[in-house]
Amino acid sequence: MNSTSSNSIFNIAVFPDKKYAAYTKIIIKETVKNTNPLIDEVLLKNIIFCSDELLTNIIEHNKTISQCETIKIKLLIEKPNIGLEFEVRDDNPVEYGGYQPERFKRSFKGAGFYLISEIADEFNYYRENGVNRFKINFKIRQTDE
Amino acid sequence: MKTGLSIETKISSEILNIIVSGEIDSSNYEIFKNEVFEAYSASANIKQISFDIGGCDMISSNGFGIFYELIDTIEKRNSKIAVSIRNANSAIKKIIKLLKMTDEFDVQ
Repeated sequence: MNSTSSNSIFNIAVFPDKKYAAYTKIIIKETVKNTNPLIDEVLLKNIIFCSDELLTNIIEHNKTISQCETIKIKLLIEKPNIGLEFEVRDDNPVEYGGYQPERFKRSFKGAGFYLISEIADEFNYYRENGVNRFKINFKIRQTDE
Repeated sequence: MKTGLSIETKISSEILNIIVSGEIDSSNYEIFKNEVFEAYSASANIKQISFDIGGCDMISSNGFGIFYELIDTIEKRNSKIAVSIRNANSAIKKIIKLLKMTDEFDVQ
């Protein structure tokens, strides 16, 4: 895993393994806190939650991703927006049929995208040339500072 | 690497108390599951399982699935044990509501 910074854009490349999701969460948390020391704790928790959900989902979606491939994550911090972009090569597009509470209670799966879309201000997915891309955006409001 | 998680269990007055601190995520939810089910299996004659998550910063959807799995197991054993979740922070409370967990859990 490596990270570079340029102004308030941070690029992280992470291997598709759950242990790196835990590292990434810490990097995102510390970076957001360092650039916004007064950030509201609830907003910060929401950012961390959505990052973790999406990263876990990406890793579980295509277990055939080669270990030499990486998930590219861009963290863009430009007030009033905090954006996260995830990019990963994947053999399959993501299919999301909406949240089904009964399915979640049976299989304990299928809630991640629903929760992200409810918690973040924007959540978008698109696919291009075999690459899945996800964008999550949070807005820092006056009450969040 | 696994995210930091602390789980303490104790029984008092027919209540199994499970005190959780740290974060439950994809790296450690199986640890949480094992600890919860071990404590439940070792607890005879309890009427309630109470999770105190006041020290818990985050619970991923995998983590919330464990609460449902516990309810399933209790039902399959025909036990009458209520499950309560206490002291959730406001970010976790919002997720509990979004997942409609208040229909099946006593959330305080």
